[in-house]
Amino acid sequence: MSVATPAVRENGARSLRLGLVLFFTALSYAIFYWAASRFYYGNATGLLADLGSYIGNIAAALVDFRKGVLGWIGGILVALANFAPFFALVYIIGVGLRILNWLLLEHPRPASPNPLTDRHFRNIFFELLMFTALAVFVWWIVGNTVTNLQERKIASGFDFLSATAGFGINQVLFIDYTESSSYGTAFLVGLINTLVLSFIGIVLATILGFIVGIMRLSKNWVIAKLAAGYVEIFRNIPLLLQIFAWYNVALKPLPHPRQSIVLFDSIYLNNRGIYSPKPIFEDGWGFVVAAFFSGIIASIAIARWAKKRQMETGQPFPVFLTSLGLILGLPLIVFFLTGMPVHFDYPHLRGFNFQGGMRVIPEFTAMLMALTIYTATFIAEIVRAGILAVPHGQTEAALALGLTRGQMLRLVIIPQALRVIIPPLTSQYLNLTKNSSLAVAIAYPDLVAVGGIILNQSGQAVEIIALWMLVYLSISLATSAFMNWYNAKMKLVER
Amino acid sequence: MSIEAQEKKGMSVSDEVVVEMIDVNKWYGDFHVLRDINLTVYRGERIVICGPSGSGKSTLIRCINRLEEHQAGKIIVLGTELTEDIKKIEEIRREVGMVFQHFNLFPHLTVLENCTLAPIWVKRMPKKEAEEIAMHFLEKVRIPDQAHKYPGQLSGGQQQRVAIARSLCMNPQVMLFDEPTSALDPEMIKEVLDVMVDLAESGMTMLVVTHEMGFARQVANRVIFMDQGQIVEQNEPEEFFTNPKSDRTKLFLSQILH
Amino acid sequence: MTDTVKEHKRSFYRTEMLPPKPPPPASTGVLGWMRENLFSSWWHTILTFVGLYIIWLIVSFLVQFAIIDAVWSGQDRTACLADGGREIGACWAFIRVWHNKYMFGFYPEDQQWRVLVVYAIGAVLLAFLLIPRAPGKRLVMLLLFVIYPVLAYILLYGMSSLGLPVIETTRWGGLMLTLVIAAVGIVISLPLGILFALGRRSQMPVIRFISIIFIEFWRGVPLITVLFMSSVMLPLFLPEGVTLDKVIRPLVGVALFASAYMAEVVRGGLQAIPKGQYEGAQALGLTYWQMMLLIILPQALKMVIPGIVNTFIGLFKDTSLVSIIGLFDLLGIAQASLADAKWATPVTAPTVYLYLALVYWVFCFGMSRYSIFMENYLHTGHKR
Ligand SMILES: Nc1ncnc2c1ncn2[C@@H]1O[C@H](COP(=O)(O)OP(=O)(O)OP(=O)(O)O)[C@@H](O)[C@H]1O
Ligand SMILES: [Mg+2]
Repeated sequence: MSVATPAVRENGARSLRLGLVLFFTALSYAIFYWAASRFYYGNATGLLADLGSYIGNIAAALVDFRKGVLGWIGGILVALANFAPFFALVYIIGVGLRILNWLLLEHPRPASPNPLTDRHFRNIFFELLMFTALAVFVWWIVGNTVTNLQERKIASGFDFLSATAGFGINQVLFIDYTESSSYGTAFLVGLINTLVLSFIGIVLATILGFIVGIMRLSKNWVIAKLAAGYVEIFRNIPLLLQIFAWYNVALKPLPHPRQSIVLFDSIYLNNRGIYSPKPIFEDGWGFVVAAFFSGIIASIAIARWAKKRQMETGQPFPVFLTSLGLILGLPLIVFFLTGMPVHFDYPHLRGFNFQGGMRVIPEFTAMLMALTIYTATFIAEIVRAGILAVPHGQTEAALALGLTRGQMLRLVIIPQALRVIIPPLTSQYLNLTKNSSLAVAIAYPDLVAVGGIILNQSGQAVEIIALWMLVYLSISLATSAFMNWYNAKMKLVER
Repeated sequence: MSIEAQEKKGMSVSDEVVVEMIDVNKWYGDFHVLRDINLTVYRGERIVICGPSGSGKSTLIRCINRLEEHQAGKIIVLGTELTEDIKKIEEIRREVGMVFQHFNLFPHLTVLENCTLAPIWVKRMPKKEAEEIAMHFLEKVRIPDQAHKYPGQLSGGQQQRVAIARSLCMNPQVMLFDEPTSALDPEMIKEVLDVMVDLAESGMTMLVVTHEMGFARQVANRVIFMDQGQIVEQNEPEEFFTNPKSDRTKLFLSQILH
Repeated sequence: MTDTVKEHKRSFYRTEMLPPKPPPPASTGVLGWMRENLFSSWWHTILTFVGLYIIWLIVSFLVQFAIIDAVWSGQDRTACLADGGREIGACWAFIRVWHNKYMFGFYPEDQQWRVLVVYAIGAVLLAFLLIPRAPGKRLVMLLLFVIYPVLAYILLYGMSSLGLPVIETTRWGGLMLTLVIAAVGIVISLPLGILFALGRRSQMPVIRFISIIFIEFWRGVPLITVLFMSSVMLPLFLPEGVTLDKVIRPLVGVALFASAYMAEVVRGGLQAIPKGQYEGAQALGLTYWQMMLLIILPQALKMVIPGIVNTFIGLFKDTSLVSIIGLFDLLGIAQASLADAKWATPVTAPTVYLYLALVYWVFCFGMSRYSIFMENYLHTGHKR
């Protein structure tokens, strides 16, 4: 062992490390480059040659407004995907810079004289190795895909979205769609159908789930067992089976339109769906809507005022009843004053089917029933656990202070239970939204079902699947952003 | 403690009955937890209840504000008999404060909000007034500076004092304490006991389940020893500690006082 | 009372203890229980009767449909068609005819013993693994996760050199396929999930980043899109000329999907391990992998057994989705059987779904009971 001062030894070790890192970085490049050219381009020069055309692609996508917004976004996505190898290179350079930064600035700490046993060095080397392996793998996949697509003569890109769809969709909401609309529009119809189904499902599942969850805590044995039985049965049967069962057992065997089951003389149940009168709004209807919204606004104002007054004088105010009166009563009065500005378009038989009115397709009903009943079992368990998570001492302390049962629930138990309930509840909402994709099994025209048709017709598998993932990941991301925000907020309050 | 000694401290007992229990019996399933309890509490009394674990002390005082229901006998609190009548029970609970072994503060509310919750919602007091009262009692329990913290940020002793203040804010006529110091570290016990002594000296009627015999000697005017769900012996503290009559009491005292 | 209590002024003491008395008759026993739990107020009394009525409706309907009015045998639809005014309930005759297909798909009947052997070995190994006090956990784990899959593959797929004719996966189906998919998903997702959980908690930013992306990606998308991806895109990912078996493709998707969920469960366990355990292990001079394998993971995994079992339940239910992409798992083959024109009756579909619900339910409910049992077992284990 040489007689060097610690500082000198330190410096020597550092430069040795630097050298090694650079060497391995270069080696990684080499492996990467070799693998890429070997698997992707067939020869090494192709890589550099293609870079130029990528840049051309992205520029072309940026200026090509003709394809509409979707085509535009799609073009950028494809260009970015094509660009993956380039990004990989940039990333590796980034890692190299990170190492340099660490070596030169960040960590002037005693290092091991032998770089191979230096913890940080080993970590970074390992990271680099993993990343390179991953990058090579991805590149290999992308390369294969490109080759396969070329082989099958499938053009990549999102141009197809503007092509004519040519198929009908049996539930179109909020936007216009006909067979001659584009694939893009069809996709949008699917997205709307997914969102509508999920939204209504979430509302119903929440209501049912809370009721069942509270029933499970009832001190009435029969009610508690009834709720427990419901939960245990329906959460242990696959959702898809439940969807099929609702569709094929409860809805499909309904009679033909001519023999419809009639409710209240105006609602018709048959194997084509549920037909009900459709309200047609006349001139004065705007006033009724306005009255409804002013009722809501007034209620909010009154609630605020009532709270303020109670804090000042101690006098409570029947906010709930007043609001109910305002929100329901006000529009009702206006409705009669304006001479009932609405009439109904009744469904009527024409030939073998109904015309007019509002129609809810059986696929929607089946999905809604199954999703609601299935998800409610999980929500019920969450609610139950949330309420049980509030210690019994809280109830006792609240009662001992003389609070009524209602006040105890409202002021002490529910605020604490909600903190436990809301995070898992949100993830159930997310699950419901994702599960609505099972609609494809009974051909409810949701995002996946419509996408599937487009996929079969156009063969643009990669693009369709990418769009699906994009939509669902955005929803997930938004949800988890909300969850993080909520958790942070609640933590702040509790400390 | 003699009558004179008590009056010196300003603690006097009137002959107005506040709580009366007549032949009270209670069962948990088949387990006979309270057996023929007869107890009369007069206004201004400070009663300490002790006894081995599982003897039914907690159950007894929890029956007084009907956190537990008794199955036979009568309990009359402030002239009202405890029955299924929810309104009457809520009225009684407003007049009877309770302090728990584990504090049971509301963790989602600040100390001040803990104290004003019941006055605002039960007594329909303006917020300002409720806060003034709360600050008054927080000063009494010597933690006015913690008013805007959350219970989780306080020590056990501080939490228990907040719990006492929270009960006092309702201006109760009787206070029930269920082992208020047994979940606390030794150095915190004193700060809570001091507050309780102050409270006793202010003339509050108190029923205290505790094993703090020093506290019993200092402020109690009656000590009750329970075992197997029954009152085995009761006496003035002086007599109770120096001259216990029952063998069970002797055994218990020898264990607890070493 | 006066004779047992010596009273003077406010002091008294007992010379004799009161014996416990039986509670008033109305508060214990069946009567007391009913008063407490069924008829504690007029409101609860109403609820009780409404609840009982609902239960009566459901149970009587099920008994009527599945037993009293059921048709137990027959050769074709005429047996299950209402004629002569008799109500027709469940058409069990149909299930009997199709039952072998429901269980084994198109696996040749003379070779089905192989499936049963695989079941039997799996059941024995699982029993050893699942019973908390059974010995030799490590050996069983090794057998179950390494040897058994190979053995099962050889038995199920076949190997001509051993005299086992090859049965193509296209002929696999029914409950057998469901169990194969679930089992493969479990066997792959557990180790992979552990790796990604460790990756997500790693000190190395790149590893952590990759793990987070992987986990959040699979958790953010619905399984059905994953299955479409694996059946449509997976072939594109592979070099020309390489084709993947139609059953393997969804398996890849299911396994990756389940791994992400498993990773989050395992991460929960890792987070629950006190820091002292890590420090203790490091103080002993253990390397990272020694620390993880010997100290941390055994504890963490034990802690999250209920969560792991719940993930398995989800996975088991999710296997039914492969029927959408054209595999004949239990649900897939049942759906196919409904198209059997020979048996087209109004009661065929309800019967089939009732039967399937029962089969799936038994598996899932069994697993959830086990999970609850383990939860209690671990809970009490911790207290001691
Ligand atoms: N909810 C309940 N159900 C059944 N038994 C109970 C219940 N609550 C208390 N008991 C039993 O009743 C007996 C008396 O309980 P209690 O809490 O009154 O005792 P204690 O004297 O306060 O004891 P400790 O000093 O341990 O607090 C105990 O044996 C206890 O096990
Ligand atoms: Mg007690």
